[in-house]
Amino acid sequence: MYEYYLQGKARIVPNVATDPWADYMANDLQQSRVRSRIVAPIVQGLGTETQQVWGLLMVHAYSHRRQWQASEANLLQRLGNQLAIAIDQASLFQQLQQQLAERQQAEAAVRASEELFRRAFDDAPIGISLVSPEGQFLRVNRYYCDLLEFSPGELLQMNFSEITHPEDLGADLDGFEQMRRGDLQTWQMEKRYITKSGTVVPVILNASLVRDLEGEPLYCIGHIQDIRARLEVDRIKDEFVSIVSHELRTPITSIAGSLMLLGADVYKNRPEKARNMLDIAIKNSNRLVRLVDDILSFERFESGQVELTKEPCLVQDLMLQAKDSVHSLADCAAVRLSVEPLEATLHAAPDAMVQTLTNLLSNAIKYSNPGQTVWLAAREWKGERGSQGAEERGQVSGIRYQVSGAGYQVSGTPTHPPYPSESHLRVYHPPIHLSTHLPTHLPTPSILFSVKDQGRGIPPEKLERIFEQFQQVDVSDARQKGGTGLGLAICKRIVQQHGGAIWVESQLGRGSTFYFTVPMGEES
Amino acid sequence: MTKRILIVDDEEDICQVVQASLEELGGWQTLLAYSGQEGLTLAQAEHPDAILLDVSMPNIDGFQMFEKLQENPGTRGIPVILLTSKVLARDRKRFADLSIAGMITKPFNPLIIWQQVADLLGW
Repeated sequence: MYEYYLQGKARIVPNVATDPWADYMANDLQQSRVRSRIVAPIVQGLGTETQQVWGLLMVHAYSHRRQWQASEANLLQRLGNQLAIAIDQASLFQQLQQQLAERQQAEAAVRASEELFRRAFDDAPIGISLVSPEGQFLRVNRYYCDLLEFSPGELLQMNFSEITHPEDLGADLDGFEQMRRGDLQTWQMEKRYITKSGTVVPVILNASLVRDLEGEPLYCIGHIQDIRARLEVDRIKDEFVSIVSHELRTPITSIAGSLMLLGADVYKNRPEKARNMLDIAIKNSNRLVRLVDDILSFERFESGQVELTKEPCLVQDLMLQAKDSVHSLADCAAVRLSVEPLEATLHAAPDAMVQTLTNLLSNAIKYSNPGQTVWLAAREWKGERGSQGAEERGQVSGIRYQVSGAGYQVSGTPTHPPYPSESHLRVYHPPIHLSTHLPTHLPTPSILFSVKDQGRGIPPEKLERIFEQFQQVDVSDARQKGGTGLGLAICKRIVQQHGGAIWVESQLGRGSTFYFTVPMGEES
Repeated sequence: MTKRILIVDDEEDICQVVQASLEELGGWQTLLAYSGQEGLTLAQAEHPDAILLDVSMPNIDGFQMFEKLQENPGTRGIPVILLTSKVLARDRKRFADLSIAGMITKPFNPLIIWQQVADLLGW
């Protein structure tokens, strides 16, 4: 029956009751009183290899048997054929719709993927470039452009050799050539680029080569990372190693040298010369001990190993203890010490406070001439919060001060002792990077200590680094005065650990005043 | 005639140790200068046979003093030996670029430094 219908021919059934192809519908048809009928197949893909019967189109005659005409059968079959075409088209349309939806879905996925990679490329925190085998930029990301100060449009017109430092071009081309030959999979080098404004920027370059299916180079992917900060850290580390090496080797050279000469009996019969050599050894041993002590002390503060135990202490006691520590030094130097103890209580680590005051007083005495005076003073320091939020103003014993986010100024002519009334404070603005030294919560109620001398003063260019390690104003002079170059660096660490600030004002030839604040803490 | 060597070092104690070695063991005469400026003045005035020059000095350091010696026709011919405690590679490279007679590293042994000086100068 199926094979018959597959031919696409309608079948006339004059009498349903005698239909030789009575199927499962026969009973139903009879019960429905269907007497005769025409059945036309709906054949999809008629005339093709894949043709199949999709369904049947039937016309039933009820109540009496009907003698169907061939034309009626043909008409029905034509309808069947039209239906088959319509069904085919609907099916095709549905397939097309589905394919379209699938394609749109795929395209959206590609777009999302492209967007993902585009953003990963554009917003990467390193410079990325695609460069043709001839060196022409094909694509560059934002970091790359920002670093080299060119727009993407400008770079895409350029060859990488135009912005490569001439001394690094050879090595860079060598690396590319080795990758092109297949000797290297990736290429890494430290190189320098020259930006649009002419700045030389050192970078780490990581490059790899992308090839086509035939193995021919398509383009080079280059990643660059700005290493200026790292090089600066290296430079500081090198400088520190160099200075420490020098500071250690110098006294060791004197100690070992003088002892070797003594040991070899060079001055066997000249006791005064031998004594001089022994004095050199002793003096430099002391210097070495001080240096090692200071390095260890500094290192302990620097690495945060020192846990300062704060306790209530009397400011006047701290000041007098510091005065006692430097008393003999002042006497030897014929420098007058003027201390005006302040009756107040401070929550601080007393030993560290005395160490800070002693360091500052020692420096002041060492750099004073005989007959000059060194003043140690302290005041309570209660600033008022200004209406501008970030800005603070206040008045402390004749010193007007103004603190703002960017810097720090002290101006005015102090009229109160212990400052000499004729002194005029010259203020360098900013005297040091005060914003880094001033705690953000300033001014909390604090004690402001000051150590003033009438010595030679500090050149403005030295003020910037005076609190860094081994940054004496005059290295040889400092050594002669027994300095290790770490005293102020230690003071800075101690004050910072107390949440205070330290700074200096100085006028060449007139003297310096070192200030530091320590919050009064729990007592306030 | 006894050779005369100018020792320039801002560290007076090191000057004295070197002086002892060169005078007592080397049998030479010495002149001492405690700064680059003082060293330049003495070099021009006394025209020593050699100069032992410390590198790390304030104001005029050993490199600068060496340059000034080279610029002056009167002192250009004086052989210079650098005394240094510099340890970094970039410092070594800087020394290698100079036309100095030699280099002695701190800490040195005063019992042999005079021999090192003699060897470097071919005395």
